[in-house]
Amino acid sequence: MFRSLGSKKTTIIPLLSLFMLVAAVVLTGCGGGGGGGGHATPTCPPCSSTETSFWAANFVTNSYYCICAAEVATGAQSRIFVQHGMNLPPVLSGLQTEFDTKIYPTNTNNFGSEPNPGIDNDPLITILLLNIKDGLSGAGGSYVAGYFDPGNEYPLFANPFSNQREMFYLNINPILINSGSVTETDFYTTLAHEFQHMIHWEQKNHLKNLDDDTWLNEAMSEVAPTYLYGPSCERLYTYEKDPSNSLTVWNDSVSDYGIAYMWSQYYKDQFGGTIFKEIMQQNSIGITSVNSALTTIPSNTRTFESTFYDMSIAVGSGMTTTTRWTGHPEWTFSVASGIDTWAASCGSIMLPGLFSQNTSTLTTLPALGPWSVGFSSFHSSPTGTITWTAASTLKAAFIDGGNNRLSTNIVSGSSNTYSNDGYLLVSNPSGGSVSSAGSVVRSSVSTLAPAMSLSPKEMLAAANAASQALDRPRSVCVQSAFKEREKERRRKGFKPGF
Amino acid sequence: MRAVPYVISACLLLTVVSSSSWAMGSNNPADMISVTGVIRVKGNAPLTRVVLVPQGEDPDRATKDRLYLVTGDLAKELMERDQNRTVTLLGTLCASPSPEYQKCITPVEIQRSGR
Repeated sequence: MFRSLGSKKTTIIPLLSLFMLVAAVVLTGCGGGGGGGGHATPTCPPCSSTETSFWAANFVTNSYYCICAAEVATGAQSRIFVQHGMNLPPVLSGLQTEFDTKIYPTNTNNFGSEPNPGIDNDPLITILLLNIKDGLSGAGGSYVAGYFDPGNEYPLFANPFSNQREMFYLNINPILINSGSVTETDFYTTLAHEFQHMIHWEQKNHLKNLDDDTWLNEAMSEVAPTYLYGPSCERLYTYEKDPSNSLTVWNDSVSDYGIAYMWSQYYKDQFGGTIFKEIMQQNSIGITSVNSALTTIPSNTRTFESTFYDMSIAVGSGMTTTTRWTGHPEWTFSVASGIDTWAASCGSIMLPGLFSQNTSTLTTLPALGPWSVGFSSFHSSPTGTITWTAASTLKAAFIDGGNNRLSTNIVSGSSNTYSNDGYLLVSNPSGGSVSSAGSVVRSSVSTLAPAMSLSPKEMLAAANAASQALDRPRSVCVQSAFKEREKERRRKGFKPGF
Repeated sequence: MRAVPYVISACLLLTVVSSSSWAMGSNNPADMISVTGVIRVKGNAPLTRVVLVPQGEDPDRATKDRLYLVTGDLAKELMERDQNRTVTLLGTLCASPSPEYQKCITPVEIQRSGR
């Protein structure tokens, strides 16, 4: 699980599968000769009698290394080990109680069972606290908060770097601990996240011999902590920084977590807690497993595709204290989740807002990847119109902000009028990419009295012309023109110079 | 006619040179395989992996033993450009470094079509 420390920026992390790169170690390293010569099984040097040796991943060099760790606590569901030379941070003094009494029962209830007793024939899960080698060297960087390595579920003859136990790793890098910006809840959410991965492996890989797509595996891990700790402001921020990221394309980027979180939070809000367990129990993976799970809900007709479109509207609609669109709860995140995509403070984070990107001058909308949504906003006072033209494979909705009116399934080529603010949501409900979310032609529509749209000079000229026609002088008030212009300038943020 | 021995010698030399280069590397045409299928990214971050689901298999139902783990330098390119797309990989079979997969391919060439 990737996280950002300090600045809440989206950072691309160039990590690729450790498995791929470890291939070189397995085949040629560790004393072995590659290419048919066989290889010696790598072994860890012995630890003291009070410690246990563990293989851990080095994400900088893409290799495995050994550490020694002491078991500092044993509970009803877990054993906690701390890396040699480190101490259990005070912020984690409640870790075991939290995991054993809250995270374990909540995750198993909502997702299913982990391997139990598993490869080590021990019902307890190992939580190894260590300084994960992820290259973090200072504040402001991204780091690996924790991880689950499925390689530990295999015997040594299948994986020489296996610890042969159910375990996950939690990062207690002193930089994180001393930063003060990583709270105990951050550690707990990481635990819940990683535990879902362990359950996912058991349910899909072990029991069904399948291997799920990363986007769905991560999406379910993203929603796991919300059952205990509520919606994630951090992920909402991540999402708003890159709201058009593809849901189903996983590039090992922090941005990938944003849309994954929004999707799973939406599913939790819409279908309740059991949906993920249903997905897990399907004998399929990815979108097919989601669709199969949806069919188990009585009288449900919604699909992955239809819900993706609904989600795009829910996201674009922001959030109100009640369902925004009467009779359509599918177009709003639940009130309980409190997801608000507008610019606002969320916890300690200031959200930039979904429409923070300036789209006011765009005529050709940006490309859309598979299962992604493009968001555009328009401003015109008092009213404006946009005409959206795009390929028929795209689905769009339009929100007239001034009149709080939603138009769904808008047709390519049709005009959409709005008051002050308009929002166009274009959804790509397919596994293919499109080069553009369409083109937009905008125009302002004036509903003011003709005289008010004229400049004072034009108004006087018109009045004089009329006066001549009437053969007598006429008074004319030009103040209205100044007032309207001033209102527009104030709306844009200009302030009088007095 | 006097040129014939030179031509034969040149051909023999070329054969030896190309054979030895194949033997040293992994590009021996005899060892090369071609697999067509859909590229997917699997597993949990940061231990994700790129796999190819062979043509004819349902990508959402194929069991692990049907998948090819993709290793080597081109895996990153496949992740960045070809997820959920059908490609043909030309490369060599490899010993899977992951216990999750039985099949493994190290591609040297990606063939894309129909884009």
